[in-house]
Amino acid sequence: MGAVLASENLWRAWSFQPLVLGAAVVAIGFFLHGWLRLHRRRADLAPWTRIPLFVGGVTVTVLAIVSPIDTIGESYLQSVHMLQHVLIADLGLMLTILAVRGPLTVFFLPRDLLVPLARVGWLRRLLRFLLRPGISYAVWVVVLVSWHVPRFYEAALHHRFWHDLMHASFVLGGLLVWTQIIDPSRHHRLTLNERIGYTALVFWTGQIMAYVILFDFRPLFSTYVDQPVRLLGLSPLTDQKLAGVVMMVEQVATVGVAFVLLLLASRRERDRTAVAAAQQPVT
Amino acid sequence: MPSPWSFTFEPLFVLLGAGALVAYARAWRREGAGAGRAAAFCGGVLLIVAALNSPLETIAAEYLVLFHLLQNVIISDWAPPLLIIGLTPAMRSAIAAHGGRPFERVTRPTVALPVWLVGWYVVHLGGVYDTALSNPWLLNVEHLFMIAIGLVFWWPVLADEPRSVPTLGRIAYIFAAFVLSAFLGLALTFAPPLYGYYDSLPERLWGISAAKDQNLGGILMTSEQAAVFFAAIVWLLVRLFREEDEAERVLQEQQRARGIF
Repeated sequence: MGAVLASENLWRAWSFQPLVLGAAVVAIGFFLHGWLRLHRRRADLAPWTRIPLFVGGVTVTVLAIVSPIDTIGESYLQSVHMLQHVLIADLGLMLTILAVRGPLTVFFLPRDLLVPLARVGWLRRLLRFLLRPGISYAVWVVVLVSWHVPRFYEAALHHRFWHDLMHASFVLGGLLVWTQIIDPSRHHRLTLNERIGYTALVFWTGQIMAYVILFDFRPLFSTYVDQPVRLLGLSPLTDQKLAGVVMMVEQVATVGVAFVLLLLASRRERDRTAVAAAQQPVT
Repeated sequence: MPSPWSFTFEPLFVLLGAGALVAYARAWRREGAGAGRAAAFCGGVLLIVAALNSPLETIAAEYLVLFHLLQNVIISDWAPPLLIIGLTPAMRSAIAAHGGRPFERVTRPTVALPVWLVGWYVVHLGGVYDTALSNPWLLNVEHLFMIAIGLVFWWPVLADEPRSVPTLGRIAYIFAAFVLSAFLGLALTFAPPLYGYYDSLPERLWGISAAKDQNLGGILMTSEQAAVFFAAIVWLLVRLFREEDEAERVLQEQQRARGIF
């Protein structure tokens, strides 16, 4: 899809993507507006720490799309393409969802936009359907697996439409499972312990996917095999194995950390429940 | 070189297996443990004895590191949990009492996990592995060591004696073990042949090169551990949900007794 560049010029291969940059600016604008509204009412529900989380999440996502990561990932190295995917679909999303958790979820969209959107029946029904835990997981798995089928992956590497669709579907899948794991709006579709189980399922599914890429004895994607410029001297197979490692390590750093934090939260809740039960007055 | 299908005979493990079964049968008769527990214990013993007295041992010791790694996961990851599940709480208490303070210390999660990890990594170092393979008795010591660290590792997960680790702690323990042990499988998959013993063999069984043999071993180890640890986490989560339900029930009973409902 992208023109072949001399390897020494690759670090300058930044792309100007108005749609991505515009969406990022709008998202940060919405967030700051919502944060300010809530901060004025209840500062404890909109602490300052949420701003770097949200801006960090958006920045990670934007950088993954407009920086040389995009060019290198599309044409040169599968491992860098994998890095792009995990930044977009895991790290960036995780940070932004963490930033808006709690009442900020409701304050994120301006009232004038939220109210008409909330009245759109089909949108509510669609969201309700997609946010069933089993459906969220199924969508995420289907997206993850189907885009790694060589035929589809190659199509995405060679056609801008399919590539954008690939990234959009990764964002959708990631958004759905991270919403279940973090539960930003405190819907309690899953109990805390069920979220631990859900996170374990997501983690192990991701690991199995990484194994498929990591342990294959042949390079799966011809674009990277046919690329004559071997950046960092990586052979196509080593590059592919590295892509598997990137996925594994990133999963540990995001889903793995979420798993541990949920375990700690569950322990705290147990302790609180035990103390509360002991302190109940006898009537 | 012997035929890959020839059986081996390791009297040490046959005797140890027989001794364990006799001791278990006596305790089983005394306590009347269920058939399920007996089957689990016998299965554990059978796995160890069969893995070390069969063509698996021949191929592991004479041809392919892949089979040696399979043997290691059988005796260290599959058999020990079955052996512990097969013991009744009274049997476990008796073992813990006999083991005294050293047993109490080594089965603490903060000790058992590092012991298992260090043991798991050290045994698979090129020099250690090659040395063990060069002498049948050293190989037996290696296998005994693998069984021992497997038992030490799985004890805090499956047993409540000498202490009962909270379920959340057990889940964290298994998760940490999975993450921290993954590097060995990755190293075996990525690294050039580490084991001179297998690399220098004159005959390549089934045409598997030394590099591919080791890569397949890494894949086997990583996939096997992912499956075993995931199964353990699922079991622990089910236990956690049951505990949650039980706590809820007890709380409601207490509230009813106090007249809150």
